[in-house]
Amino acid sequence: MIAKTLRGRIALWTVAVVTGALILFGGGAAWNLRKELVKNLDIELEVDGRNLLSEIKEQPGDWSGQKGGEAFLKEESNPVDYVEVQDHAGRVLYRSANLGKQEIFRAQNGNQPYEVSSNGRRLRLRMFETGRVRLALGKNLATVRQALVELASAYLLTLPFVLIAVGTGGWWIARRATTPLKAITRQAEKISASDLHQRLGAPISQDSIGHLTVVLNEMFDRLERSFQQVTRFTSDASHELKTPIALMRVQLETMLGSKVITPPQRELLSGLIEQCAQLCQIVDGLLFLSRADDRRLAIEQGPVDLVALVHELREDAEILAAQARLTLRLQLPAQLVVIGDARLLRRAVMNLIDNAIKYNRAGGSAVLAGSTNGENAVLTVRNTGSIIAPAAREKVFERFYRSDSSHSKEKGGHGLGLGIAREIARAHRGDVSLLRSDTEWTEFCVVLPIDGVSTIVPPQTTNSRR
Amino acid sequence: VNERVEGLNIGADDYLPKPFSIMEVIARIRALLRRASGEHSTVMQVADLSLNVVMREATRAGHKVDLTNREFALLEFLMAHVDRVITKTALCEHVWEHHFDTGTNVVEVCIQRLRRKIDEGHSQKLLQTIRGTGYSLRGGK
Repeated sequence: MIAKTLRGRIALWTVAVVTGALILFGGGAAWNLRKELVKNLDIELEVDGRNLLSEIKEQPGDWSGQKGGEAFLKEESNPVDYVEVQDHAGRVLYRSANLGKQEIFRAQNGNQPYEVSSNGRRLRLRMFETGRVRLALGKNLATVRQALVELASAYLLTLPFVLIAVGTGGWWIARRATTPLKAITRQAEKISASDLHQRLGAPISQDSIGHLTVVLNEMFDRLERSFQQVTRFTSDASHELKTPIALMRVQLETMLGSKVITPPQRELLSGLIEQCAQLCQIVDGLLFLSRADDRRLAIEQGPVDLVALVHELREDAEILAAQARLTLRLQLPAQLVVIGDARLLRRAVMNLIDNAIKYNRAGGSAVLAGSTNGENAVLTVRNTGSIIAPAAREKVFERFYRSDSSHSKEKGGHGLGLGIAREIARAHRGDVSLLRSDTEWTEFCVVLPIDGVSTIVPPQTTNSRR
Repeated sequence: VNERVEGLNIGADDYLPKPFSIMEVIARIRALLRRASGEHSTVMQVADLSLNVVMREATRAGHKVDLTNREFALLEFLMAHVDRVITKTALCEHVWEHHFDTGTNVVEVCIQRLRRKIDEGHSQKLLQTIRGTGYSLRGGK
């Protein structure tokens, strides 16, 4: 669970690395300590051995085998030491009681200390020689081991505390390191979701975080540029198209008014005018959408009763519904007032109604329902249209999207209606979304905040009166 | 909107953004002329059909005709362009200001309803369909 966050992982890694380092350090320290203690032991062996040897040398006569010799050695030697004396023939002259029957001589070691283990004890030994005898002196390594065990247990006791401290420290460092990252992520999220004009704050430092900020800002620059290019292109193209279309329209209408044309030509001309008007609508829709993309939609503000608005449209909607052999039902409260632009909202609602009637089966029905949920006015438009595939649920809002082009061509839509409705709702800080689409209903819903666009600055009108 | 404001500020009487219908230009010029000549036409009259735009009342040969909002707007537009042929497209744009795709059917149905209300039972048919072109309200003798 902890390992899932970057912070947690950094903390865990810190703990792991520090544990490894502590184990290495502890091992090294123990090894050194042992070496030092054994060296001390060797010095002790040397001193004690020499002393004992000189005592033996000072003992006059051949004392081997004598009771006195044994008593003397027992007297002279330290009782915790292990002592064995032999003559050069290999006869044991004395063996201290703690040795039992163990042989501790090892000829090949000469004057070098060596170790022997037996009966669960480990001895450090050294041999000394004089003309008369050979002496082996040994000391128990238990003291050394005892010191090491003490050291290790001291280590192990403190280890958990150290690791907790290290883990906390790692967590804290990771937190400090990731805090600017988090801030950048939050800002970047906000920018990509709402406003491409914004940028991340200037980098505070020259480190990799600063670099990331710069790189992200450059990316936003490019994104904004290409976004603006698309928007500007659409807007310019629509503008450029308007004049020739308007001219065409005027000329066609003039021709229609002429006395010399025949009825079939007349029919043709009015068909052309209708096509012209269609073209106009598309261009207008595109211009509208490019303005919305650029956040240049001028929104007038005033109380708009959505219920009254629906009733205004009802007459047209009923005609359309009757023509498509649909039943149109309204389930509306007494009123549903939002603050916004009546003209735009009417357009959005009409688009949705038009859509619900157009993409429906014969004999089906369409239902318009209104309600409030706390801060929002909700208008839902249900119809018995064909099911919109889950993959296409967002696509229906895209420009010129058609679920089945050959099928919907004859329905006369130009594929901008839902997109326009959504942009209008969004300009009012609301949204249009597809709630459901199953065998029973396909349901779109408009959500509009009741307090409307009050936080949006009203469009500026330039006052050029001089 | 800015262009419009600027245009009006530098002395224009009206401003019509592109694209516009030639008929709208003419209608607006006429309206301006009417205003200039001080004629306040609250009542429009074509033959024995009259329309009071303030009271929102229509009468044909003295009998009150009940109209829906849309029918009223349609009649008002037709009466303002009396004796002219209006295309379906123009009606769709000016009477149904909002832009909806399948509007022409609505226009037809609405025209039929309006015709039934103002012309049925009268020998003089005012609202005429000009085949292939559009509609016209004829007040001629």
